Amino acid sequence: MTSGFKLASIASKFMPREKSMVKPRNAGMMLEVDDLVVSYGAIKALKGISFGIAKGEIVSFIGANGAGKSTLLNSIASIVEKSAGSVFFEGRNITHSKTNDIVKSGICLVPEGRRVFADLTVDENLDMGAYTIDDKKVIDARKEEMFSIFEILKARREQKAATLSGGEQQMLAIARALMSSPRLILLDEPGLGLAPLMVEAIFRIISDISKKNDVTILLVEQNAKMALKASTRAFVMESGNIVLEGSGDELLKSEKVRKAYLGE
Amino acid sequence: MVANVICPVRIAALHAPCRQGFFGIMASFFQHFINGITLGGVYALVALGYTMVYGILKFINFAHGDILMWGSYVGLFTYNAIRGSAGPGAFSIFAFFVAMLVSCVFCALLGMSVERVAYKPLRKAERLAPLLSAIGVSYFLSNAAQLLFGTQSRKMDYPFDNSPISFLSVSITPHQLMVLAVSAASMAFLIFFINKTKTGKAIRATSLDQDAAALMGINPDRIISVTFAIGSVFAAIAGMLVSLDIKIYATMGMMLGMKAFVAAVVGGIGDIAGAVLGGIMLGLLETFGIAVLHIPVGYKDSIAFVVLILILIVKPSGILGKNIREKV
Repeated sequence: MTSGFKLASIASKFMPREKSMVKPRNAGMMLEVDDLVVSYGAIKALKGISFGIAKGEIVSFIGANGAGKSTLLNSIASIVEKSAGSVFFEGRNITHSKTNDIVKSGICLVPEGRRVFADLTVDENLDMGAYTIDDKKVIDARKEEMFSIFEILKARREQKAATLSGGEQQMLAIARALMSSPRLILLDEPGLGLAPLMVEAIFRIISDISKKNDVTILLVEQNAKMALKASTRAFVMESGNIVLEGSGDELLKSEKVRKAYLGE
Repeated sequence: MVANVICPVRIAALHAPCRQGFFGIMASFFQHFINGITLGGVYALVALGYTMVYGILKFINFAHGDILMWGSYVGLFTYNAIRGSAGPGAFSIFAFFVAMLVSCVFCALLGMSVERVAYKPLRKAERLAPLLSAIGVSYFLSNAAQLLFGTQSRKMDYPFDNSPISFLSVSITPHQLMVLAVSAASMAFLIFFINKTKTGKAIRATSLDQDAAALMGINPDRIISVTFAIGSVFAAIAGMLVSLDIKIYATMGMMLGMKAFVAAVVGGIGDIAGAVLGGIMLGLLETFGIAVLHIPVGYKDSIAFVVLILILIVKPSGILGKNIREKV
């Protein structure tokens, strides 16, 4: 492993590759992230992360507070500036696209802490989720679909989002993101601050959505057990690097993960 | 500041004979009420521009009053050009509203350009930077006007006969009626726009959480431009309304802008209903302050700032404002 890595880095030093000839390492995947670096001032939050996600997968990133999980999602969505590296979505380079253009290309981020529009009603929040859609009929059909997945939202339709409980707000945040029919959805700590039963409900919905709506899901979560159970593939992050990769089941069984993240 | 400036809407019955008895008192009350609410309508129109921009960018556009002044000049020139030598009447009224439209378009473009040139490059800078830039733009606009249009003030003639109409010894001028109608219609339009249209909802969403709005596919730059355009259009309308009563000159926007800013802060800056409430309150306080408390007319302008000081002591977030914690 180590020697291979060394060879590669030496090779890259002495043989600068032609830019046009470089194919991202994870070419052919739906989302290709290559050597992504993000710095906040002198602090490097992401130290060159590369991975790919295939269509239809549920991929989770687990890790401790400050490992760089949220930064990863925020930088893919261009909310946080990238210092280096590249991001390709369905073959298109979105590294330097603006957040609102990334949404139009089919990626939607459900940010940490939900960030629903507190002063807008549930209905208006969903309208905002459908901002990129112009056809009113399509919007209404999407809304009905959301109300069938999240029944509680229908009852709360005319209420301001601020009056919802934490779990309901999380549902609204997910429904709002789904309104634009994204093909890839990024979920930042969907279980944060919720009661265990609610966390389970949210994760059940996430699995359902990925199957029924044909949405690929990338999620980061501190609740490692929940995330690993729901995922087809997972990565473990530590201080800005990926340190472990495997299927959800493999990582659930891995000694290191059990000790460090499952508290066993 | 010159004291004569600031009676944007001339009070119809300031020199009305003393009234006595219960009926007289009631008549006086309604008289002052109408005068106050007319004046307040103008303050509210201007305050809306401050509050909407603050809602989205969290900074005070100190050039707002100067945009109003430019709108008044452009409106005046258009009005005079169309009207020619026609006397008060239907054609002059038509000319006035065409001029108002031209003034609105001009101000919308001016407001958006100011944002693009002076504020957008500073969006990620420290919060003080765009504020200073706004003060710079304010001086630039008023000095440019002085250079181009001269230092003498100009007068816009009434497009109609402005003799007061009396009803049960309460009198109202046609101009006051127009101010009430136009400002009420403008505010009704804004409330509809902000609550029912897609762009309106996007403005509200962007002012609540800009990042989350971008995550909905909303282009914050576009929303900011639209907000400046709307605020400037309201300034243009207010400018046209007051220009019939006060003189037009290069620094006319200064005191009017300051008072409208006070109105926005008193109502709760960032809150649209708050700006309307603050504006109308300020108009009423000024008229009743003179009529009931017998504050000398020369000190009229001080009322707004006394109110500002009081509200900053009692409820700094304004009447309808929420206490918002700074995001870390």
